[in-house]
Amino acid sequence: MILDDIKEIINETFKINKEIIEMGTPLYNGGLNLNSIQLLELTVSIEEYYEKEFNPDDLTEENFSNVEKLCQLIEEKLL
Amino acid sequence: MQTINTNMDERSNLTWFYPRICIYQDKIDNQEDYFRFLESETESRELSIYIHIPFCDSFCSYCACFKELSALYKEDEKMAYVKALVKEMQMYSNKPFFRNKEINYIQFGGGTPSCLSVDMYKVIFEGLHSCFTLSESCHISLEGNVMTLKDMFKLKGLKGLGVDRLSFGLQTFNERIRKELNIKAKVSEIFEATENIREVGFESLAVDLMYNLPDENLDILKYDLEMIVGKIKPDYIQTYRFNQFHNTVLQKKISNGYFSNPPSGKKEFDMFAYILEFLKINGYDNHVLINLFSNKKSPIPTGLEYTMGNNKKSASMTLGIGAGASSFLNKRNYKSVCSVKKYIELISNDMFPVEAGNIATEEVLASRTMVYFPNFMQIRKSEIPNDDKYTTILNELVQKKYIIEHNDRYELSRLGIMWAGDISKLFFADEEIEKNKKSVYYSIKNNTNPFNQDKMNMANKNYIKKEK
Repeated sequence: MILDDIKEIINETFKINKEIIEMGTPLYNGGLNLNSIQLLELTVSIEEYYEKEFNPDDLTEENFSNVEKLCQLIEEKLL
Repeated sequence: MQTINTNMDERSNLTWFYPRICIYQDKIDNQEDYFRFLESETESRELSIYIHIPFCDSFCSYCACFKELSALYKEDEKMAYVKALVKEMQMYSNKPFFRNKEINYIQFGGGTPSCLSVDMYKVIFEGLHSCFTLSESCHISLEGNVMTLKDMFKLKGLKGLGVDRLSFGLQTFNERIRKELNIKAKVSEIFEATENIREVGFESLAVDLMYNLPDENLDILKYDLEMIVGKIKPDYIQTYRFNQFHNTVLQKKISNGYFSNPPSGKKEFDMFAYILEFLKINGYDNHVLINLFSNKKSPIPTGLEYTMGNNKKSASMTLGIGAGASSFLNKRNYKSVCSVKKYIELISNDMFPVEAGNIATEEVLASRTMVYFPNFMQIRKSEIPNDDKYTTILNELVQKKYIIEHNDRYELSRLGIMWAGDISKLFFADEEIEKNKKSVYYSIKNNTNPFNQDKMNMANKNYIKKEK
């Protein structure tokens, strides 16, 4: 499941406990509270995990607003 | 207008380099086309020169500047680098573009410029004088460390050649933090170098103080300030906030909890506020630039003022000489290769040693004045580029009390001074915002230090892969 992948990536990259990561968890402005650099770090970690790259146009605030949106983005664009 | 993000954890650093040069986005396809502008004279006469001396005896763990270990190079190899510097100067000065130029400032940066011998500087200065016309008011500033700047013979040699301003990194007197940051110079050498610099009679001495250091607290900062003001008494104090980029060795140590009092946005804010008050009431009340304080009414200018355009809307020009040096000439914004070996090789083949470069658009050029103005803390209305968007932003900043409007200028308020880095970002051209974001992305992707996009201080980075 993509959610399991995201939990693994976030845990590995930021040492954040997988248990607090759910579909509705915001990535920034609350929830995981990732800053702008960390969001880029997450982007690269995801790309390296799947060995594919995002289209820069897909890297929007909306697509990274919460875990569910991120999962949708990965499903649509990387898999 | 974008608002200022007053989240302490996301405080923006000051902007010192704009527009950005990104080695991943700014590849120069045709060097001949890019440098064609050198074949014509321009009306503008003023030019400052920056010369990069990349050798260091040891690496301070916080420093992202391009440098190579001095011990890896024998004296004749360093002299080969010096001679390449002179040849690069000749390659430029032979071009029509430089025919009518007068040099108003020369800055030696590094690395550790003071690690070169006086004989090597004689070669450099002969080159400077034969290639360029120095204005009567030209100042020459040289950075160094106290281990080499305590040398009386060297100091007298440099002064004899025309250097009138010296600076060194002091950072902190705290021995434990100095050790953690791998600063090799002893505290006693700070005093020795200061005494000798004054005895030789340099016109200006500047020291760098870094704050928000790992495990630093206000007591440590207070001690540092008291010692600088009371014992060192430099003409300038230049303050820098500690800043570590993603995945450097030092940043990983911080993230892994090695330090009990790590750097933070709140700590940085409080310390900067403390510095402002302390220096104001202790004789350093001439607040020259946002991070530069003097106890003199009319101190000689710094190279930074020139490279940042002197707070004017006509674009300033800086010629960068040496490996890792940056230039800003006639809208061209480029930097040289970050490798001594490659630099010498390219120069020996009569090629400009350029690694990456761009051509600033009119919008980026106009925005440059506004992006830098917070560093100067004020801007004359006559120097504001003619575009409503800038006055719109300025008016909103006045309403929110970040700046004060006078008849002829805008000035940062005390609140504005505390958020100067964020104010600067409000004026970034849209294309530069996008470019900066991509630049950081590429730096993370390639595990390079965003400062020069090289491997300086970077830790190894491994990523987990999906099981197939």
